[in-house]
Amino acid sequence: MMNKMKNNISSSNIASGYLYFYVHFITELVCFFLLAKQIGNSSFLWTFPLIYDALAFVPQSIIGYISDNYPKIKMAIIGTFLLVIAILGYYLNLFPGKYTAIIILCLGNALIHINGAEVTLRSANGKLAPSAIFVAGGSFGVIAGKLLGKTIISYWVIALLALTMIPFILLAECYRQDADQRAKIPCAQFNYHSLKIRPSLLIILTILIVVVRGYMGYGIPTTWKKTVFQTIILYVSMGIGKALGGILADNIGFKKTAIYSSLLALPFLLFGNNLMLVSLIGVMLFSMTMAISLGLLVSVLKRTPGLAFGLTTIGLFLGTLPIFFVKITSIMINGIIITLLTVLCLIIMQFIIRKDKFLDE
Amino acid sequence: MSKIKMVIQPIYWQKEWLTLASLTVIILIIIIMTVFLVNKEIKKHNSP
Repeated sequence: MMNKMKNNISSSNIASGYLYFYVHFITELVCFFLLAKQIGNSSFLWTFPLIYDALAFVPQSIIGYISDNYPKIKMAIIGTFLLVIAILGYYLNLFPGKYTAIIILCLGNALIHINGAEVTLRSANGKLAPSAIFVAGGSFGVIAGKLLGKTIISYWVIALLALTMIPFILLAECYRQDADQRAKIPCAQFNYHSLKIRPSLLIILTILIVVVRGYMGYGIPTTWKKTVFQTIILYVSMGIGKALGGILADNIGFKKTAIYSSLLALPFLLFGNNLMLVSLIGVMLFSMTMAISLGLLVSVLKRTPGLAFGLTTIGLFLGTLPIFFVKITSIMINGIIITLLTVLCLIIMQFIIRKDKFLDE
Repeated sequence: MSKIKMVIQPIYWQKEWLTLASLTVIILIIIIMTVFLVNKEIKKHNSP
C-alpha cells in the first residue's frame, strides 16, 4: 500500500500541486484581505461578496477555454499583476467607482485559478492529487486573508506577498510545458467517468453535484463556531479534506472515495451542530468530493481542462447564490435538505462514475 | 419564527438594482457562451 502510494505520488508530478498550493494560498489571501477591507468601509455589505463570487467564479469557463487554446498567454502572471494593481489602486484611491478594484481583483483571481488548473491537471498523468492540493491552498488563504483584513498590516506588504507568487508560477510552468510536449491530448489519462452515460448528461449531472456541494458548504450547521480559533480550524479541515479527496482517489479508488466520503460525511454533519470535532470530521469528508467532480468533468473534456475547471466554478457560484438572498433558520429543515441532497448526489455518483480499476490489480 | 428568512431586505436590492441587473446579464451571457463551447467540445470529442 505504501509503495503504491509512493509510486502514485511520484508519477503524478505532485510538485506542481505544491507550487500552486502556495500560489492559490496567496491569491485567496490577497483577495479576502481586500474584500475584508472593502466590506469594513462599505454600507453595501452584501454586494461586494456577491460581485466577487460572480466575477471571480463564473468567467473561469471562458478564460479556461482561451487558456486551453492559447497556452502561450501567461494567465497567472497577468493575474498576479492584476491583483497588485487592484490592491495598490484601492489603497492609493486611483480607481473611479466603488466596484473597480474588486472587478480587477476578480479577473486576476480567475486568471490565476485557471492557470493552476491547467498546470496541475495537464502534468498529473491522470492523477487527482496535484489539482486537489492546488485547490486546498485556497481554504487556508481565505481565512488568512479575512484575519489580516482586520489588522493594520500595510497594503504594500500584501502587494509584495502577491509578487512572491511569480517564481512559483514560472517553476510550475515547466511542468505544463513538459506535459504538453509528451501528450497529444492533454488529459488523456483521466478516465473516471462511466462510458454508458452520454457526455452532455454526465456534464449536467456533475455540475448538479457541484451546485449541491456549493449550497451545502454554506448550509452545514456550525453553531459551535464562535471564536477565531474555531473558524481557523474549520477552514483548515476544509483544506485538508480537499487535498485528501484527491490523494485518496488516487490510492484507494475514485469511486470508493466519492461514495464513502459523501456517505460518511452525512451523520457527522447532521449531528455535529454543537460538537466541534464531529462537525470537523464531517466537513473534511464532505470537502473530499471537490476532487471527484473535477476528475469527472476533466474525464469528459480531456482536451480542455481549463474549460472543465471553469464548469466547476460556475456550479459553485450557482450553489452559493441562494445564501445571498434566503437563510433557512430551522435546523430540522436544514437537516432534511442536507440529507435529501446527499442521497441525490450518491445516486448520481453511483451511475456516472466508472468502477475502480487499478493497473496492478 | 419564520423558518426561512430573507438575508437582505428587498429595499436594499432596489438600491442596487443596476448592479444586480448588470451582474445578471453578464452571468447569463457567460453561461450561454459556456454551453455553446461545451457543446462544441463534446461534438469534437465524439468525432473520430
